Amino acid sequence: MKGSGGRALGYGLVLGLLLLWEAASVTRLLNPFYFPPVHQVARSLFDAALDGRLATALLTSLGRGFAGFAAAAILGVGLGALAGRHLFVRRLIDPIVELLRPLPSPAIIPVAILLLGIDSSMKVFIIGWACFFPILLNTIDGVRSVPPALVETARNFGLRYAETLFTVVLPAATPVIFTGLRISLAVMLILTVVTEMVAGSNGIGFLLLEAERTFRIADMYGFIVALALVGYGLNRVFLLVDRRVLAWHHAMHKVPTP
Amino acid sequence: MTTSILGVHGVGMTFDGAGGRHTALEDISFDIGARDLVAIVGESGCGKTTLLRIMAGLQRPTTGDVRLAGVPIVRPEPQVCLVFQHYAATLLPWRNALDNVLFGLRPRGAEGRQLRQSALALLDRMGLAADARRFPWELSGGMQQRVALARALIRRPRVLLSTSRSTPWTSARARPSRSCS
Repeated sequence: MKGSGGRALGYGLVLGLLLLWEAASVTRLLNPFYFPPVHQVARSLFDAALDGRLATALLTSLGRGFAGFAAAAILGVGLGALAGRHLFVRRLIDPIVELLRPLPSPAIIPVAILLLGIDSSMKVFIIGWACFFPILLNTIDGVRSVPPALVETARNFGLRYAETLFTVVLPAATPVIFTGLRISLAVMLILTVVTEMVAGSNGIGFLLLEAERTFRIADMYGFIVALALVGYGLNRVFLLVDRRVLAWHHAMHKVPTP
Repeated sequence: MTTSILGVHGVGMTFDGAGGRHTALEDISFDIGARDLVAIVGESGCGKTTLLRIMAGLQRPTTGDVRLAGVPIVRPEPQVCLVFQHYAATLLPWRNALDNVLFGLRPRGAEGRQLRQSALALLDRMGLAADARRFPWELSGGMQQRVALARALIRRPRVLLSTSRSTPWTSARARPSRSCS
């Protein structure tokens, strides 16, 4: 009860800040050129939604984003499972991973442009690159944390390598793998916008920067709000999937040991 | 003495660790016949679990061999079922008790229905008929142990090994199935 009251108050605070912004802009307390009134931002967003610009841009951006994310998930979980199971693979990839992981992903954008141009393939590559490491590292951790007795039992029952991997090891590691996927989902949105701002002629990142450069400031804020909503929506959808796939994991940690 | 089902012959096991070479087992030999109940007793760390893992084919001995009906065991052998002491860690938390018993058996079609019936009957004998749909983490330690035992018994192993210090076999509700030689 206390929690829901806090949440209502939190939404009230957002509404209050928006009203404050609106009042400050209309009364020119804030320069309306830099801070157009909220109703103008809302109208810009509404117009962009009505004429299809927003949907086209978001579809383009999310298409790229999810292509990179999916590639990173497949490679990250695949390689992470092997590295988690085999010390040899872990030792083999460890130096490369430790060298490349701390590198800020935008730093390799020039290389990617040089090799792949400025089209979607470059953006998908950068997004995939950035999403790959959190998924890889969490998968390695998750697979390594699977109780050895679980794997031994599968071996004892005559399960083959692939069968053990898919029916025992990966499901048991899923809670930790999901942590990596969730981090990468946020990274995906960041890199989608960054790559579109650096190079290209479409996508929400491009529209956002173009609006700023052509002094359509209300449009710019509108696109920022749209991105915030998309980020919020993606996280909510991910949490729904998480609650469904990992229902056992969440329930397990709620039940007191009998 | 009945004919040997499982023969342990001159089994020795040494581990190379940071502290040098450690001998866990040395020249262990014995035979287990059908319907024999054998207890391996020893202090903690003397190599009982290592011996059982070798007997189940989960580990190759440094010397000697283990034979199931005369055939050397060189890989994990489903006919020699091992129930681990840490039974709770061997149950899959995302499967209910019934599906844990059926783990790895691919219960499909008519044969599958029969398997499910056998699994339910086994759980019933273990006093867990009402708990078949419950998840391992909803069961007590003793109940989890009985699920682990049912999962081993449904495979009708020729030899059942247990690393448990106290098995629930003595309980009237949980006598080992006859299928366990």
